[in-house]
Amino acid sequence: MFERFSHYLAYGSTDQQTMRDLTGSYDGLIVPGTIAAFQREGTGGFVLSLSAKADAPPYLIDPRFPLFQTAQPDPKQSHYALAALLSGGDPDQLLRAPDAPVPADFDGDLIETVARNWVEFNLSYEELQAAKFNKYAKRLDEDVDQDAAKGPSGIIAPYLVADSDGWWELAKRLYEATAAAAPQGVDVFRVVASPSAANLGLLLADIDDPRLIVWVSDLKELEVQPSRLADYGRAIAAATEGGKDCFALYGGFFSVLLASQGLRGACHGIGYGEHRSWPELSQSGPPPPRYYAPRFHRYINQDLAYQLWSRDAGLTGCGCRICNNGPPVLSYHDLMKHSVFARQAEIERWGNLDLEAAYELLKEEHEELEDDLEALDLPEPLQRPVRRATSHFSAWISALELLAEEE
Amino acid sequence: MSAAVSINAATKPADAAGLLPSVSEAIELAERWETMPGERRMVASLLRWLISARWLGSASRAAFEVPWRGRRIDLVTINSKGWVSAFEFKLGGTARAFEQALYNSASAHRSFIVSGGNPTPEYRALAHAQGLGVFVVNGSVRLLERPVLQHPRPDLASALRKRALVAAAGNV
Repeated sequence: MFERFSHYLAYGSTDQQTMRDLTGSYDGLIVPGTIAAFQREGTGGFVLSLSAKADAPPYLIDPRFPLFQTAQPDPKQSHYALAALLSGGDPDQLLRAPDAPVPADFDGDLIETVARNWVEFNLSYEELQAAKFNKYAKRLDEDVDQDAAKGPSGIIAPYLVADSDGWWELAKRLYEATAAAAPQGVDVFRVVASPSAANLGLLLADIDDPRLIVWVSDLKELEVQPSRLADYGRAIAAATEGGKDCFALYGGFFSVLLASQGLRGACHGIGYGEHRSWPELSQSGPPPPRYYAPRFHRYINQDLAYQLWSRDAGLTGCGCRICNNGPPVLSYHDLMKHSVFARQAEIERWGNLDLEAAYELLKEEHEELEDDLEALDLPEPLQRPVRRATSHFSAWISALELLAEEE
Repeated sequence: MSAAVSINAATKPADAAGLLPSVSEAIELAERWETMPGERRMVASLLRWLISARWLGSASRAAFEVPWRGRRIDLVTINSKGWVSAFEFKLGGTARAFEQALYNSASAHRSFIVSGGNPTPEYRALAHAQGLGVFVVNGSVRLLERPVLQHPRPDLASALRKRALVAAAGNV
């Protein structure tokens, strides 16, 4: 997770075959605690059978604790299951409604209870969630032994979004309680969850962990101002300089660019999930069927990808084992797999560049892309979606410029 | 440019009774939309025109809001030869409809924009150059640009046909 540049995937609505086909193109898996708690047998069977493979990637379970920082008048079943797990069978302790909770609602006993139950769940995961191991192992199409199943590679401590000093202090207490409850030799990771990029640096400066996970709420890499992206990069660079290795809980291609600032890795969902907001927006369902356009470093709609490809195959073609330089007309599962292969190729190309090299390469790629698009003489109705699909480049380049000015 | 073809939008198809359920049900549904605001009020007039012009016949199918590659096509029809036509409706501001119609031309044999007003000369020229059909529905129905038979990708045309047939079954 902290080897430069680690590529983690969030476990979501992914089928076993897709995960198997992706082997070698990602370094680890993060399983949302909500899913792990609610679909215990299914998720457990899926994850544990994968973990029993010889080339198994490590996995961790995300406690998704910020859920309990807001009022939950109508909790989903998975939220209820996670609250029940963490509270030891009394979910109302965590699911507050109609009023939103305040830090004082989490007394010492509750913190201890949450930390203890979470550590226990992680440590016993490989034994207690294995009921459907055989069902999922069969689908792997490869012999795996239940005895070879592994538990999580570490424990992500319950965390909170540091929306105020009170929440930040409580987050620190949750981490300390979790670290204290875990046996020696088990890695316990802190998530520093910041409501803004500007605050992240202050939070990181307040702790001394050598390895930690970061999350800036609602950091939409494709939309935010360059100054916010630069704030994020600055915080990572300062932490790295201070001897702290950071891993991004959510991130798209811009997080790969931040390898140049010391970011050690990032996680994303398969076909989605490059950012996350807190408080959470209500959303559900599988990722939309979009095409990850490697030269654009983002998802674009499939029809636009095809229109561009039909005019100049080099614009949206891809050499991954799914696309094989053919048209970007893919089945849903292939769209998902392609997106992971494309990100892995980006990491291999960009993950070891220093800031100057990343900046120069991004500028050069952007200019080439704009030149190629201009040469197409696209019909006017297609020019607007193309402009939208390339507008992030200038923000990313400006952000890298801001960071370079300070080096 | 093709001559505009105009048929009174109030014309009722004489042989509606002979239509497959998906089309007759589609007309019935669309007629309920005629008094509603928005683009949908144009649909019934267009369907009646298509039937009168015999572009839709007794073996044709029609489906609304067909889910397709992460978006929805407003109307898809399939004729007796299995040819697929895709229609994008827009009351004003046709840029988005043209964008969608261009996308549809990769999957459908005929791709149309159905507009509530006359498109600009530039857009009309663009439709002509790209082989897109243009209808204007505004009291009457006028075929402003006759579409060119496209050569969609066979895999996409086949998949869209299947998707529309499933959606058409849902109309009934």
